[in-house]
Formats: sequence, structure tokens, C-alpha cells
Amino acid sequence: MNISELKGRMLFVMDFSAVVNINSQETWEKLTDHIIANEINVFVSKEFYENYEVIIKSLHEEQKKIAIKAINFLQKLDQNKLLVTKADITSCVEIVEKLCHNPNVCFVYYSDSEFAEAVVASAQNPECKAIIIDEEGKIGVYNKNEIIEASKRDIDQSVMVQGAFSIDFEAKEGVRVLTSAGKVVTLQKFIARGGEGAVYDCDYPGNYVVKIYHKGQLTPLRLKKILLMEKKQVSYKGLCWPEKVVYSEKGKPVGFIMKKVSGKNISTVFDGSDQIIKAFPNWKKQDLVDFSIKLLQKIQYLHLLGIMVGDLRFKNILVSPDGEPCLVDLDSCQVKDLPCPIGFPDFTAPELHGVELKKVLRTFETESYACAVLMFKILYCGIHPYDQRNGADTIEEEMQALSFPYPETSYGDFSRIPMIGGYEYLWKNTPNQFQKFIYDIFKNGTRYTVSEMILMLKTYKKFIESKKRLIPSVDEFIFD
Amino acid sequence: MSIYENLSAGDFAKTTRKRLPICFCLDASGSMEAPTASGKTRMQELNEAFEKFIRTMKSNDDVNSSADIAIITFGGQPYISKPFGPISDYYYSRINTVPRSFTPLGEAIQVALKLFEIRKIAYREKGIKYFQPWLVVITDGEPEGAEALENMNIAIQQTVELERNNKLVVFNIGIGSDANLAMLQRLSVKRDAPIKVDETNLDELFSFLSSSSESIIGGENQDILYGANELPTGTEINLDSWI
Repeated sequence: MNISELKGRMLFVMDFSAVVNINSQETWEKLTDHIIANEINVFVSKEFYENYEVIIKSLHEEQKKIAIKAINFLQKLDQNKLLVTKADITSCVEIVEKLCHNPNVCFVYYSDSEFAEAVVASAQNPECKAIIIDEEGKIGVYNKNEIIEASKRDIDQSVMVQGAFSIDFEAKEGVRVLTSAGKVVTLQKFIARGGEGAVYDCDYPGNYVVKIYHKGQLTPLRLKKILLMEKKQVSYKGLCWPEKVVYSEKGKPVGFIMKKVSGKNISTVFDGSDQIIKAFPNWKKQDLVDFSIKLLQKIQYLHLLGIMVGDLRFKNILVSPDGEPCLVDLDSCQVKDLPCPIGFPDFTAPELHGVELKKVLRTFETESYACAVLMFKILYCGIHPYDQRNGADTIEEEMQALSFPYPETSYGDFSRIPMIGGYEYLWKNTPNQFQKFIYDIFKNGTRYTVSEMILMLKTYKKFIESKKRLIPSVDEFIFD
Repeated sequence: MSIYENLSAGDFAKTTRKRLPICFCLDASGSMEAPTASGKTRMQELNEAFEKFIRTMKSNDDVNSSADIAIITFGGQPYISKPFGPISDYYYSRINTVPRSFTPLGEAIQVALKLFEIRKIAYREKGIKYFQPWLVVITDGEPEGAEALENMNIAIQQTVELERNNKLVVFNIGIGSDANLAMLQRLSVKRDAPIKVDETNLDELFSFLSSSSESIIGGENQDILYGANELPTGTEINLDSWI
């Protein structure tokens, strides 16, 4: 099917993922010109604007430009009375369910997006059409059931092979490696050593470090992944992304370079109220909410590019002295059809417990679950939502049973919450709307998208700010 | 005036991390006074290695926030040298032998298991999650006498049952040439053979324990605690078809 066939009284539902991944001026104009010329109505949800806010902070000039172009386009549509919005719809699942049976509707999204996932999961015998942006940024037009096939994602079977490459390379200070462009990078001071590899300072301009895999640690999965990561245009403050693959002087891949970051690991900082005060003596609840928003926005940025972090947990997040979150260990992220083989049960959605993570692809839904747990732990001094007194032996059992120990409001049974006292106080001083939101997630098992969580956190932030203006309030203070 | 006046940081958990409870059962019987090849006594070697071990554990942020330790010494009778508490609050103090005493190994283990039980109740009550507890038994000899042997059998029954139900990790360690390895072996069904250590090389043993604790707290599988010498057999793949 061709884009020129999409005309008449049509409604295009535009997902922001399409905007970010159309990588040529030409393609963008082809799409927008067609819309204006054929007087096609365009619908965008609240998420569109939230995602704009995420991309506008990107350090990648082209991404910022196209985000601005998108907003300008919306203004143009508005002037031509072609823009349709409905204030209370946020989630893609809702949109897909409601509109997929209408042949005059056309969804516009990126192939590796949350929207694509919603289509595969929720579109039953769709009658609508879809413009799907592929990996190269090109447009493809699909009709009815074709759109489901075009939105599916299957794991890359070739990386399931056991074993690793044997590469003859000794990493140490002074050794030289090369980027694919032939630029020489010299390893400098040794920084740290992990299970997979070692990190060294290097002379690549712009404050970078290089990670070299240990002997026998570069597997086909890891290699394919870093090669793909090099192609993805990830450039954001606080995202320690593998930017360029490096090769030995013999031409064998040995590792990659990434930006150097510093900060404290949040598994030590957000670990009880004492530690938070020690690291940030002036922080109040609002700062924790701010931190959560910033963190989720960075994760959402990766999501918009079709990347899922997979191994989301406190240990892989740092906080800089000025309170900025930073995600590290991103070389295990899931990109395209390459899985993330690691995960910690505390943050992994219950349906993935006991599943061999290297054999499945994560979904945006399971990512959202991890984000919800991160959000809770940040706001409640590091305690896990399912930590409770006299509970089951393992946290996995609690997660599966949805045995959230806090009541839906400030009144109720607190006998199961960990250490009655501080945590009871924190819960009671959470605005009721937010309590209901958390309860819905952890007791009812409702999954919200990362954008929806960001919106809710912003509402929470506004609440705190509005209370401040009236009277000094206890809500400002976390603890004594 | 304000509703948080009666609240203090103590109303919050000091740390939200999963705890790793480790109980040491250390031989303090008369035989530990025996000199070793280095010129020091076995007990001196043990003390030095143990002090270093505690320092290493405390210097790792993750371990320091997660490990809880208890120490039972046995020479003549079991003695709770240190009841359970976070390692961050513990400062090493020298262990002394009880001169001319026997080795009530079985009794000491039973006390250790009791301490674990009580500790778990405390964890559950407070809503604190924990890793499978570690029982680290270090002896240079064996229990003697009918009563001691009887108690050893009881202890063995208990440790084996807990192990089978995944509720205990046993490190059965024998120092020097007089340790009764066959008896130590019976303490664990998961470990193929008891850990035999040369009395002058205790550092290597404690190094294994401290790096293992780091791994477990960092999320590694329990298997590494048993097959310490198994390196993953790497299959080599040809690079050319991949670039």
C-alpha cells in the first residue's frame, strides 16, 4: 500500500515514536505535506506532549530539531482545524482498542515502540491502517491484519549460541585501540573491574572511558549488540551509552567507549533515611519526586528509540552531586531483537520470574513494572513495595501474590508494613490521589506506562508546591 | 507542635537491603595452641586471617550494608563470643583458646542453628528479607567422647535437613592434618568434600569467603558457593562470520 492511497475523511493517530525515528527531512515533509494537502485529521494523546518534553532535552541536535518541527506541525494543524485531542486519553492500549476497527483510522508509529506492542497485544482483527517507520527511518504503509505482522518482534535466534570469541588482546595502560573510523584511542589509567570486563580512562576527546571485555567474555550477543548500539543515536545527559566500538590493532573487536560519569550509587544513597540525609542534607520530598521524574524521562528517551534497559535496578543508577540521575551498565540493554539476559527478581515483573531471560524479549509493559518499583523505592527511602513484616520467605512470592502491605488510604491496617513508625508516616503523608495510584499498581497489578507515571509524579510535584505557598507543611519534610 | 516530633531516623530501617546472616563456629580447643610451620600457633594464624577478613568485608560497601555476623567459639563448651549483629557495627576482637579443652563441635553447631532461627524470626517480624544463612565451621580436630559424638550426630541431622530444604549453606572447613575430614563431610550433602585448609594459608580461605559473600549479595547464583573451582568451559566461536 502507498501513502498516496490514504485520503478522504481520515484520522491519523500520531505516536511520538514516529517523530523521533523518521531520520530524514524528506520523509518528514512527505508525511506532513500529505496530511495537510489531503486535509487529514490528526490525533495526539497527552503522551505526545510528554514525549516532546523528553526529546527536547536530548543532546542530539537532529532529534531536538525534529521534535520542534513536530510541535510546529501540530500548531499548523490546529490553525487548519485538523488537530484533534481528547484530554483524558493517555495510553496507547486504550487508543488501539478504541480505534482499530475504524477503516478511516491510520496509526503512525515506529516499529520498535510501545505503540507497536499495544497493536500486537490489543488489536483484534483490525480494520484500520498503519504507517510504520522502520529501523532505517523509512515509511511503510499497511492495511488491516498486515499491521499486526509488521509490528511483531521476534528474538534473534542466532545469538542463542553458546560460547564466546577468542580474541588475542591484552588490556592495560598504554595499549592502543581503534574506532571503526580508524581513530586511535589510547588506554590510560585503570578504573574498575567487573565480571565482564574492565574500564579504563582514555584519550578520546570529550571525557570518555573505554570498557574492554575480559578474555572469553565477548559473546555473539554482546558483539551484535554493541555494533547495533553504535548505530543508535543515543545522546542524553545521564545516559552512559556505548557510543563507539573499539578494535585491537589486528582489527578484532574488543570493547567500546562511553562517557565518563561520576556520582554515588543510589543503592547506597536511597537506603534508609539516614543515608539520604547524609548525601543530600537539604533534600525534601519534592527533590525525591524530581529525581524520579528525571530518571523516568531518561528511561523514556531510550524507549522512544526502541531500546529497553532490561536490567533496571538501583545498582545501575548513580546520582551526581547536583541530584541528576545517571544510568550505567547500558551495554546489556535490549535493542531490536537482541535480548537483555540479566535481571534482578526485585525489579522484574512477576510473569518473568523463573523465565530464562536470555531466551525472551522484554516488553515495554515489563519495563514499566521495573520503573514503578524504582519510583516507589526512591520515594520511600529505599524500601521495596512488597517488603513486609511476617511475609513470605522470598520477595518473588510477595510480588506474585500482589500482597501490597499498605492500605489504599491513610486509614487502615498498617500491621504488615515494615517497621511501623517512619514508613507509616511516609504513607500517611502521601497525597491521597498518589496513594490510590500506587495501590492500583502494586495491589491491583495495573500496569501504567512510563509517561503516565511521569504525569502522575508531576501532579504530585504540583501538589507539594501548592501546599508550600499556603502554610509551611509537614509534607515538605521527609523525616526528623 | 509538629506531628513528626516523635519520629526519629530509628523509626526507619537503617538499611533496606537483603541481609546475609553468617555464623562462624571457630575451634578454640586446646589443640589450637599447636605451633605451625610459620612459628605461630594455629590460633594466632586464625586470629590474623580473621581480622583481615573482617576488614575486607567491611571495606566493601555492599557487604558492609548487608552482612550480619555471629561468632561461636568452642573449647570445652560452646560460647557465644558475638551474638548476631550487622558487620558494620562489629569490630574484631581476639579469640582465645581454652587451654587443654576438648572440641564440642556438635553442641556449637546446634547453638549456631538456634541463633539462626531466632534471627530469622526477628527479620520476619520487621519485614526484612534475607539470603540463605551461612554456617562457617572451622575446626582442627574432632569431637571426642560419647556425649560429644552424640551431639555431633544431632547437629549433622539438623544441618543436612536444612540444606535439603534450601535453608542453609554449610562451609565445613578443616585446618591442618589432624582435622577429621570424614566427619566434617557429613555436615553437608551439597558440598562434595569438606574444605581442607593448610594452617598457614588461611588467607586464601577467607578470601574465598569474602568474595563469595560479595557475589551472593550482588545477585549471583548459590552454585558458586559449592563449585568454587569450576570455571565456565568456554566454547570458542569463530569471529569471521560475525563481523
